[in-house]
Amino acid sequence: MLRIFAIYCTVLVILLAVANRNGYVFTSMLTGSQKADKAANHYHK
Amino acid sequence: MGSKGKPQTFACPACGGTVTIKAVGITTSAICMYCSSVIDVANENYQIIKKANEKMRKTLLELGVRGRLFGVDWEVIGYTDKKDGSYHWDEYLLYNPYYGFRFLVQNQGHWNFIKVLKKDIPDIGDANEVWVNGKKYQLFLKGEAVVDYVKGEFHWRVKKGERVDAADYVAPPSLLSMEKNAEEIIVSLGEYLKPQEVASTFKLKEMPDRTGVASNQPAPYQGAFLKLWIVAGVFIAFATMVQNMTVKASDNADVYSSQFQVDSTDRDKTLSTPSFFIPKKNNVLIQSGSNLDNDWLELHLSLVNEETNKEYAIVQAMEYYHGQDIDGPWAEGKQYTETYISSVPSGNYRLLIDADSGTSFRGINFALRIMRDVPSGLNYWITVLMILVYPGLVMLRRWSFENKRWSESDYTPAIYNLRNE
Amino acid sequence: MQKTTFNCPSCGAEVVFQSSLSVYAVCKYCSSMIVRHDVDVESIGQMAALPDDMSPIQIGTEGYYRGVRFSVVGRMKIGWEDGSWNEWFIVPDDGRKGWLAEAQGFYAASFEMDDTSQSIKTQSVPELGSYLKLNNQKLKIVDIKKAVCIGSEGELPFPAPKGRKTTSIDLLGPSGEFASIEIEGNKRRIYVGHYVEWNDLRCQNPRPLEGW
Repeated sequence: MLRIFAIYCTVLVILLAVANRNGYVFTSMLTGSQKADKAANHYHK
Repeated sequence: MGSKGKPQTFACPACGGTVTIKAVGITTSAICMYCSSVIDVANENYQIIKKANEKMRKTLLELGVRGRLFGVDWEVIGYTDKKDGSYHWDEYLLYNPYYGFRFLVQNQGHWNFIKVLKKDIPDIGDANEVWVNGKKYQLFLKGEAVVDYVKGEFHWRVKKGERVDAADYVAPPSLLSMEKNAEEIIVSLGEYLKPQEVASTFKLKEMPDRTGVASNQPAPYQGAFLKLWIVAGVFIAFATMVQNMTVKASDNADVYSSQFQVDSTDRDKTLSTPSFFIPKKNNVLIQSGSNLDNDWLELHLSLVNEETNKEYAIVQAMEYYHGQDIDGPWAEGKQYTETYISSVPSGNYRLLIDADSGTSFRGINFALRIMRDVPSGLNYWITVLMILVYPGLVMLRRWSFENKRWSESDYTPAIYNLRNE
Repeated sequence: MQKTTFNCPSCGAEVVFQSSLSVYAVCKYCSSMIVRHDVDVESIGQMAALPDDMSPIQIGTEGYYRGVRFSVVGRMKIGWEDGSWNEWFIVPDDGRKGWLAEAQGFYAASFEMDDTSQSIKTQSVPELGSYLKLNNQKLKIVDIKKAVCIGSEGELPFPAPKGRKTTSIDLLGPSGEFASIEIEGNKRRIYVGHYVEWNDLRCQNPRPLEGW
C-alpha cells in the first residue's frame, strides 16, 4: 500500500517538474484555450 | 515416576458414562458429556457437585479439537457460555501440557486469544488508564460476567450462575481484561484474531459474522498510518524543492506592454500589437487593467505565432460597479485581471485584441502587459493537494472506524464523542 | 553438588543423594522414606503412590532460570481445598536451594532467602491484598492456602511425608516477580523468584506425554 502511494507521489512530483519546465499551468489547461466566440452576448445587471 | 503422562478416565458417578480428564492433576471440575452432571475431581473422590440429566450442547469448536496458534498446538478442553445481562459470549478453554492454558473468546463474531497475566496491576478496575509492558490501555467497559452454561473440564470450581465483576481495557489489537470476585482478581491479556485465522486453524467451514467494531479490533492501516504521513511529508518536501528551483530559474520577463484606447467606432475592429519575440518555451501571462466605472470590459485575445499561425485564444472579462446605499458606499468587481497561457513555444508572436464593453461604450482605456516564464504557485498547490488526498481519506476512514469502536463504550474519549448534547 | 550414596535401610537398594542440600529421599524401589543424618540414614516410613498427573517435568529434567542451569531432583505434590500442585526441588549449578512450582499451567521458580535479614514481623497476620517488602521489592499477597502434602518422590531439603501440613502464601509483583512463604508449625521459609514461561525454561529431558 505504502509502495503504491510512494510511486503515485513520485509521478506527481515528476509531473510538477515537467509542467514547470515547459510552462504548463494546470488551471489554464483545464479551462482550455478555446476558440473565443466573438459574437457572444454578455449580459449584466 | 518416569511413567508416561496420559489422560485419566473414570466412570461418571451419576450415569456411569466414561469421563476423560486431559489436564490430569490440574483440572478441578469436569462435566460428564452424557448427563451434564458437574463432578468434583479435585481430590480423587469424584463427588457430584451438581447432578443433571441433559444432553451436551453443540458448540462451534468441539471438545478435543486441536489447532495451532502462535506457534503452539492447543486442545479445546472446556467451553463456557458467559453473559452480562442478555448479552452472551463464548469462552473456550485451550490446553497444552507444556505451555499451560489459554482462552479463545468469541464475541459477536470477533475472536480473541487470551492469556492470564501473572503481574500485579494495582489500579486495574478503578483507573481509566493502565500501563502494562510499556503500553497504555484505555478503559472500555465495566460490567459483569455470569456463567450460563459449561461443558468439558476446568481448573477451577466452575458452576452455572457464578458471577464476577469485569472490566476491559483496550490498546488495539490488545485487550486487558479483569475479572474479580471476593477471593481473587484475575488479569488477562488478549490479542485480536482475524476470523479467517481461527477458521483455518480449526478447519471451520462456517463462522459467525462479525457485527460492529470490537473493542480491541485493529483499525485499518494500523501501523502504516504514521508512515503514510511521513511519505506524504517527504514528497511534499520534494515538490517544494522543485517549485523553489522553478521560481529561481524563472525569467519573469516582460515581453510587451501598451496602453489602448477604444471608442464606439472601434467596436468591431481587431487591434493588434506589433511583433514580439519569445525566446524560450514557457508560459505567457497576460495582465489587463482598465479604469472601469460601473461598466464591464471583455477582451478576446489571440496570441498568434507568426511562423506557424498557431493561435492561443483566451477571453478576459473585467467589471467594476460601485455606488451608495443606506449602509454606505459599496463596490463590486475588479478593474484588472490576468490569465496564463500554457507552454508557448519560442518564436515571433503578435497579440490580436477584440474589445467589447458595456452599453455605455463611451471610450475605455485599458492597459495590457504581456510577460513570459512567470512562476505560478498553482501547479505546486495542486500537487500538494493531490499528495494529501490519500492520507486524508485514510485518516477519515480511521476516524470513522474509531468512532464506531467507541460508540459501544461508556468511557469514550472526548474526541470520538459525537453524541449531540 | 556433592553426591553421596547410601543403602536403603528397608530393602538395601542404592539411595543416591545428588545434592548436599538434600536431607530426605524416597527409595526408588521400595518407596521407603529415608532421612539422612551425618553418617547414616534411617527409614521413617513408607510413601504411598503419588496420584498421576500430566506434568511435563520429571526427576532428571534439566532447565534454565535466568541463565542459571538447574536439575530437578525431587518433588512434593501439595493438595489444598480446590486441587493440587507440584513443587519440584531444583538444584542450580550455584548451589542454592530452589523450587519450581507448577500450578494451573503456570511455572514459578524461586530460591530460598535468609529470613533473618527480613523486616517481616513474626507476629503479623498476613492479609490478602496487602503488600510486603521482600528482597527490596513491594509484592502483593495474592493467595493464602492451607496446604497438605499428598506425597513426595526423589530427594528434598526437608522430610515431606504424606500429611505434612503447611500454610502457603503466594506473592506477586508488577513485572511477574514471585515469592512464596511456607509456614510449617513455627518454622517459616521464604522463597523469592519469578514466574517463567515454558519456553524460558528450555527443559531438557522432559517427561514423555501421550498424544503430545
